[in-house]
This record gives sequence, structure tokens and C-alpha cells, in this order.
Amino acid sequence: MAQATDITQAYADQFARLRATLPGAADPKLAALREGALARFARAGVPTPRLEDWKYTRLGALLDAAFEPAPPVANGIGHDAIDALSPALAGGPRLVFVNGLLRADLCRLDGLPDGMRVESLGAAPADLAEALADRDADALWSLNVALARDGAVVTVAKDTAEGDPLHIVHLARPEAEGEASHTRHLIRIEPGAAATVVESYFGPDGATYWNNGACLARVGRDARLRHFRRQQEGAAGLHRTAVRVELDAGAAYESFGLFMGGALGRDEISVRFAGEGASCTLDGIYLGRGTQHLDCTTRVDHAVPHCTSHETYRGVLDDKAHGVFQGLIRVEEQAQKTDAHMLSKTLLLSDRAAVDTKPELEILADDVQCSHGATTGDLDPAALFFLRSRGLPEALARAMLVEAFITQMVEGIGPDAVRADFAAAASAWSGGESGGAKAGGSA
Amino acid sequence: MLEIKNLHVTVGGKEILHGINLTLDEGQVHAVMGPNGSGKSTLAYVLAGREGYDVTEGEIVFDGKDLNAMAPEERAHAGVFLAFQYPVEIPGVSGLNFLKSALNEVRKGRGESELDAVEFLKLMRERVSELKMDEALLKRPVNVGFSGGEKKRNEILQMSLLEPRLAVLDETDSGLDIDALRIVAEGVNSLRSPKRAMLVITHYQRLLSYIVPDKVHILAGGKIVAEGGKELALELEEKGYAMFGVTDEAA
Ligand SMILES: Nc1ncnc2c1ncn2[C@@H]1O[C@H](COP(=O)(O)OP(=O)(O)OP(=O)(O)O)[C@@H](O)[C@H]1O
Ligand SMILES: [Mg+2]
Repeated sequence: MAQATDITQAYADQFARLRATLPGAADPKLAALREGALARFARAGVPTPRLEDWKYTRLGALLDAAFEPAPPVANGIGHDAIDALSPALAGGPRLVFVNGLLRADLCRLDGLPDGMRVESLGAAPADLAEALADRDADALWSLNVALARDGAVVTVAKDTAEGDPLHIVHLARPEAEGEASHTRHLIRIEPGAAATVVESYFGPDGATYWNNGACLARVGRDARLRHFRRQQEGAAGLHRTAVRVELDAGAAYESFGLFMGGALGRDEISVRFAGEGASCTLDGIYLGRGTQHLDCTTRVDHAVPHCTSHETYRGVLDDKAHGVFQGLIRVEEQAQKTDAHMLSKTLLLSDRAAVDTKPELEILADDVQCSHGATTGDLDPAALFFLRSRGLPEALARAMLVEAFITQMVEGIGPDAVRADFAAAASAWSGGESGGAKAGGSA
Repeated sequence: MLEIKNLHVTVGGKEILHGINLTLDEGQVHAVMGPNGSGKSTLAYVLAGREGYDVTEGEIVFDGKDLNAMAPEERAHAGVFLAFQYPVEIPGVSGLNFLKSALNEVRKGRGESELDAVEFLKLMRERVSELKMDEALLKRPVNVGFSGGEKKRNEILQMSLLEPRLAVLDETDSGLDIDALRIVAEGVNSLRSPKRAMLVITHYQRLLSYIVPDKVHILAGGKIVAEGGKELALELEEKGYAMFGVTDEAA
């Protein structure tokens, strides 16, 4: 097994090799920014369970070797293949990244809502420095800053009305063994505007590759961003994405994640309220089986008064799958009239499946409404008996209840196309309403 | 058709039924009455095959088969139906999908062909209107947010769709208003046939004036303490359980 220092050294070598080719390399300010990020990564190293925040998630293969950037891939995939991954979203505007690099030939920008502008980070747009922000970052975010080669810079102009969802598709190539993508997105919603962005992640089943994505979202005064993430990496894939959200006064951010792929997945989302009267909802479902490890980590900072945050996460874990839900809500002293609630429910379909939940409230203000709750258990035996007493075989009854548990979340998704896309993906996982192929249990 | 012999049932480590004998023939309706906690629902659950209700002695023979050896769904396929005293809410499962799956699974179990969506809807609408139910209820998740009476009617709807051979009705009358009681009783009566049998659990004579039983069994303290014709229910209504030597404690 490699030493931690060998791995940080390998990334430093990689950076030295790549730096001249990275977007913005000619700009000394940006070069310094990247260097600083690499230094921060080198100091901290790849996170290990010794860190409180990573207590339940061990980054496995990432602790054994440094992952390499992929070469640009020019072919091998077409529009049809991408359409087939998300039929319900196929007609809409989309960006496609293969191994972290934009594939212009696979993008579809004609349906882009009026007022939405999309640039490629790889083309070093004027606001690259903003996109590469590295404040209060953890080591993997810093590594992403140092090595990011591409990403989307999405700007939605003031008072733009809600249009079709923008679909950002991330693919790993079949030969992605040992390769990493450090994709980086910046989404800016200017005051009074509204937009929907869907991110999807897919990859080959046979390769151990790594997605180290980062997304910074800034939602302006009275603006709204609906942000969906569908994580369906290949079976051996490693996925860690971090989303950071900053909300101005009156802004609304709605997030919904469906996390079901990869050998190891960690989705981090961190929301900071910077102006009064803003709100966020963070919802997610994680579906694991086999030996999958799926981690959802959230953080909400109530720094100002009169903001609302609601979080609901549900997990379904079968076989030896391991789930993690960590949710931190921090309410600062001046953030009176905060309304913050967090709920996590996990279904364990097998004796060997397990979940670790760590809800945390740090409340320094006194006039607030905050709560958290977490439940873990098997399917409701009364419901199971009821269905079986009506003639449904056990496997079908179980599948129906599992699907119902998931459906209750998915049916809350606003945009029709996204709801259809996520419902189809979740239903395929649970075996479908009448299929019942795999949601059977451990019994 | 149903023969319960010396049935002892243990729930949660405690024996609740202490040797029940009961025979129910085709075409018959029997009533089971008894004080709270006497074991009526226990008997109903054990017939339907609920987990945790363990038969420690005796047997249940249904159409010549050992019912106790069958899974709940197998019993449903064989024609056993339990209308629950407390119908279960199932968030996230639409009423229509549930009914269609149940009906088709039972039909498959009986060796009949499955109904397609059109055939199913037609049959379902017929039954819904017979029971004077609001069809909109079935678009909602099963029993979620239903009133007590709506839940009971929903149980009877399931019974009328599944057309069981043996229907066990556990206090289907409780929580029903007077009109609903009549409608439900009509629904039950319309299913009465020489090929079917029913076990009607109730506290009240009122239901039995609509669904007239061939025989009444009085269950107290996990045993059958008296049996008789329909007049037994009337007598019970008048005098209470004391006439069977049942004190409040035993109840
Ligand atoms: N899991 C359990 N563990 C121990 N005792 C139980 C359990 N479940 C039921 N019982 C007991 O079994 C007895 C019979 O209950 P049952 O529900 O069959 O009564 P019942 O006749 O249907 O009453 P009611 O008229 O109130 O519906 C009660 O004393 C009840 O407390
Ligand atoms: Mg009862």
C-alpha cells in the first residue's frame, strides 16, 4: 500500500506536468491560485476516517494510488447513447463531459432558455477566478481547484423566467481505469431569475475511475435554482462531488439527489445563507446493494435571520450496502427566526446492510424552530402482511413497499421531465411496480 | 370447508387461544362475538397467516388442506380473505395499482387469466358504485387519510373484487354510520352463496340483523364458551357476557 506522502507527491508531480496546459495558465493570479490549492491539498492529503467528517467513509482506492487525468476522447459515443441514458430529458438542452472534458459535438444548446448563457471553463472565460474559488475548502475541493481542466460556467441573467432544465451529463470512458476527472462548474443565477439544472453521472461498470466534481452555485436576490443530481456511476466507480451554495436575500435553492451508482459515492452539499428571507430544500435518496458505500453529507449555515431550510433524505440498503447520512445545521447567534428541519429515514432490507446517521444541530440563536429526526428499520410488517393477505407474493409485496418508500420522495420533484427521469431510474433499481425482480429481501 | 380443531395460539410468548373448535360449512355464515381482548382478532389473524401468531397445538383444515402450512398469499389464492379490524395505511402505493395487483395475483393463483387495465377498471367501477364509494379515494395511496368508515368500505371493496371462498370480517361494522352499515351489509349479503362461507366478528347484534348468521359462537378468555343460533346474539345484547360466567377480569 502506498504511503500518504507518496500519493500527495504523485499529485504534485501530476500538477507540475499539467499546469501549463490548464485553463488560465498564462494568468499569474490564476497560477498562484492553483498552486495555493495544491499546497492546501498536499498539507491535508486525501481524507481518511481519522477526520471527524470522514469517520464513516474510507476512500479505499483513493488512498492507495494517485488517479491520472484521462486523455481527450474524440469518439466512441453518440447522441443516441446519451439520449438512451435519460430518455425523459433527451429533447432538452444539454452539455456533455467525457472524463471531465467538454464534448462540444455532443452538446445541444439550441434549446437553451433565453437569458441562460453557458461557457466552458476549459475556454478560460473571464470569470475563471470566481469559478476556481477555494475558500474554506477541504482537501478534495482544493485538489479539484488545482487540477480542474473543464466544467460549465452557467449564467442566468437577471429576471430570466424559468425555462427547460439544462442537463449536464458526465460520462467516464470504458478505458477509465485509474483515471480521475476534476470537473468544475459555476452556476450563477442573477437577481429575480429562475433556472433548473440537472447533473447526471454515468460510467462503465468495469473500471475503477474517480469523479472528483465540484460545483459552486450562487443564487442572487429573489432568484431560484432547482438543482438535481443523478449519480449512477459504473459499478466500480468512485464518486465524490461537492456542491457549495450561496444564497442572497429572498433566494430559493431546491436540491434533489438520487444516489445509486458506484462502488463508493459521497455527495456533499453545503448551503450558506447570506441574505434574509432565503430558503433551501435539500432532498435525497440513496439506493445501495452489493457492497456499495453511499454517503450523503450536508451542511447548512444559517448566518442571517429569517431563513428556512428543510432536508429530507431516504435510503434503501440491501445486501451488504453501507449508507451514511451526516447533516449539520449551524445557526449563528444573529440568525433569529431560523426555521430548520432535517429528517432521515433508512430502510435496511438485509441484516448485513448498515447505515450511520449523524444529524447535528449547532444552535447559537434562541428564537428558532429547529428539529431533526432519524429512523432506521425494515419494511413495516403490518403493511407487508396486509399486501400478502391480499394475494401479493412476498417478493412483490416487498418490491411494492420499497418502491412506495422511494416514490414518496420522487413524486415531489417539480419539473415533469426530471420527475420522469428520476422515477424511471429509481424504478429500474427497485424492480418496477410489477416486476419485483430484485427488491426481495434478505429472508 | 373450514375445520378448526383444538387450536392453541401463542402471541408474543403468551397463549391467547386455548383450544378452539369451530366448523364452518359451505354456504354458511357464522358470527363470533366476545368481549374485548377475548382473542377474536387473534383467531382472524391466525386464519390469514400473520407472522408472530404461532399455532402451538391443534389444526386448521381448509378445503382439506393444512392452512397453517401456507403463506398468507397462498391462503389468499386458496380463497381466504380477512377484512381487517384496523385497515393498514400504505403511503406511496396507489389504491388502484394495489387493487389491480391483488386481483390479478389472486386470479393467477386460482388459475384464471389476468385482467387488462380496461377490464379491471370496468369491474372496479361496478363494485365501487355498488358500495357507493367515491372513486377518487382509490387514486390516493391505500387508506392514507381515509376516514374510519372509508377504510372499512375499502376492505369490503377488496372482498367484493377478490370474491373469496372464506371471508373473515373483523369488526367491519365498527366505525360505520347507519347508512354505511346497511350498504356494507348489502355488499356482504350479495356475496353470500352456497359456495362461500363467512366468519363475522362483531360486538353488535345490529350487524347480525342485516347479515343473519346460521350460528353464533361466543369467545371469552381464548375459549368458546357458548354456541347457538341467531337468537344467542339477541340474548347477549340483553344480558351481557355475565350470563356466560364471564366477569370483567376474564374479559
Ligand atoms: N404481541 C402480543 N403480545 C402479548 N399479548 C398480545 C399480543 N397481541 C395481542 N395480545 C393479547 O391478546 C389478547 C387478545 O387480543 P385480540 O386482539 O385477539 O382481542 P379481540 O377479541 O379482537 O379484542 P377487541 O374486541 O378489542 O378487538 C389481548 O389480551 C391482547 O392484549
Ligand atoms: Mg379485535
